[in-house]
Amino acid sequence: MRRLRDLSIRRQLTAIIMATSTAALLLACTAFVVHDIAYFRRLLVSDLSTLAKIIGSNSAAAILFDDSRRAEETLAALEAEKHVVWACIFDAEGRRLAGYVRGGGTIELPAAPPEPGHRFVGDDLRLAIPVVWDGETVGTVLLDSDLGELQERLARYAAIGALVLLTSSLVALALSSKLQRVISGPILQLVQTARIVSERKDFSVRAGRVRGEELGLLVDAFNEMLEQIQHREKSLVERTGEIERINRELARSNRELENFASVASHDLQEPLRKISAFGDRLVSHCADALDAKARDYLERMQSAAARMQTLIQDLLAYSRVTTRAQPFVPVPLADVAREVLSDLELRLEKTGARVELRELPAIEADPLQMRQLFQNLLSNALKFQRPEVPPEIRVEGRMNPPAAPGFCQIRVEDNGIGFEEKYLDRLFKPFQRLHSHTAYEGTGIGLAICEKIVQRHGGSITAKSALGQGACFLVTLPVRQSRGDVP
Amino acid sequence: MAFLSFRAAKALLAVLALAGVPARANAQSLVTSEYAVKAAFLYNFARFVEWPEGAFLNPREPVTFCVMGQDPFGPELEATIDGKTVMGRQVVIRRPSQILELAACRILFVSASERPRFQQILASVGHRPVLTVGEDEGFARTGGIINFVVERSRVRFQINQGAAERAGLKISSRLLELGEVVGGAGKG
Repeated sequence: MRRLRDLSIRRQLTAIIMATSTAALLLACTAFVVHDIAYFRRLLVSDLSTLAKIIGSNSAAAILFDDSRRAEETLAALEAEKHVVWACIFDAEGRRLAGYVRGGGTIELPAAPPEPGHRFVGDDLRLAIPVVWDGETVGTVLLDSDLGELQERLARYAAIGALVLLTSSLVALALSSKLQRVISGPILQLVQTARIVSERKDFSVRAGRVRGEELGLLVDAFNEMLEQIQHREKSLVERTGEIERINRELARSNRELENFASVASHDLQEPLRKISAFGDRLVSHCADALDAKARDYLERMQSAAARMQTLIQDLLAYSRVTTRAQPFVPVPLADVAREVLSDLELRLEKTGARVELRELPAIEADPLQMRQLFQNLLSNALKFQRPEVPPEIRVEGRMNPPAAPGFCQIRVEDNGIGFEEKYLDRLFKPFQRLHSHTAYEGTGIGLAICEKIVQRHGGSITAKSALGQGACFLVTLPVRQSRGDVP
Repeated sequence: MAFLSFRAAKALLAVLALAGVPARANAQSLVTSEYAVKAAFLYNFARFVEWPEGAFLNPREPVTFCVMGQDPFGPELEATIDGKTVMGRQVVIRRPSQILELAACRILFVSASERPRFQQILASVGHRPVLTVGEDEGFARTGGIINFVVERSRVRFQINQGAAERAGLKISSRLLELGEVVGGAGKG
């Protein structure tokens, strides 16, 4: 059955038809032969019993007058019956009066008659019938016939059966291989059409129409499907083209914007430096000529210019996340964290902070940006310390967290002032601050840069906190970067 | 019972046959059994002979077997025939001593002891439908219908078909096949 399933539909149909017709024919032949053999056996029994009756009737007088010679003569007539192997005549007392053996052979003949009736003994049919004369049972005739006739008949049936089977198989083969095309033809045509569609991506081909309820329906449905696919394919190509165009446009305008930001912030620095420089000269050149109020104004101007400088630098740094991107390489995050901590040593001493650096994995990333990420997160943790409370910071990494297999999760936890989680959205927006810049220094670009870096790496960043409860930043980054994925 | 002793004799024959003795040859040579066989034959002769219409007075008239002269059968005849029928008729056995008593006989066995009276006896029977059976060469010659002979210890018989025809008896061809058909001298 498994092999049948693997065949082509043409062969399947032919095989099914052949198997069915052969099975039916075999069954019919078998039934016929079984019936006929049974009938023939009955016929044999009936023929033999007729023969026995004739012999009985011919030998009744011989039995009655105890004339074995006559009885033997009667039996000798059996010479004409070539299937009778041997025969006996018994008298009423069960004595064997006469015997006969085919071809004059010697066989141990039974000394006493069996019960009347017939039995199939091996290859022989043995039949005993009483000899009745004038209403009186005067003896028994016992005949033994070989079943040669039956075997001849069986052999003849086998030969005829084989011939019929062979002939009808050939006819069935010829017929079925012609007729199966009615079914296999349209299906094979569908297969051919489907192959063309899948190989050449040509949705304009159509299967030829066929008659027949289901197959016709199938072919029509297939063609209709192709038409729909062709239609959708067309609109899909159009839409894809449009999307690609928009995408290119967007990428271009994004690049322009970033370039603009970079160039602009670069160029903005120049006049700012002049303002700052001339401010300085004004202080050194004519500080004595100015009164206290003018000096205060001047100082404020200088401080604003300095802050502007910082803002511009931050803006540059933000835009550089994409404009100055480096390829991804394996980065051991533990090394990066240690380097950043050593850079921050001075601040750590000043604040009396304690940093617990736990295990961190190595991942594929931009090394400089990883450094910047840790720099920003750790400075943040140091910066927002609670008054009079030395910062306690814990850094740890975990490979393949259950929620994100294939990623690594980095936690940076502090015991600082924390924030209200409803402001989480604003936390990672550039220049958005939760505190005044007078309370905590900074422009509010640090976490925005962090988010941009993490996004460039295909990861995400979030934070958990409550006011006065410290904050915990969670960074999830992929362990491996797909090739050529360098935006 | 006489019947049983007959059966016993037959059983003895069967035993001898089974014992592989050439039973058939020896069986009939036993003195006791020769007349058992002849008695059976006598009964069977009656069954293979057709009496002419009107031979019997009425449908209920029995078939009378007569033994004339010194009875050689002993009890065997009764043992064989008693309780049987011929053509649906009862069977009766008589042993007449006078020729005058022969009128009722349908089958007449004439003992060898009657050799001097064969002519006389047959003459008294005349052409009436009586099946005459003897066991003497002279009986057959004289005009008896059936005559027992013993050939190589086997009981066989001769049939005088001419005599049977004169008596108006039809002897079955099956019986004729088994016996030796003889011309025999008969009257008229």
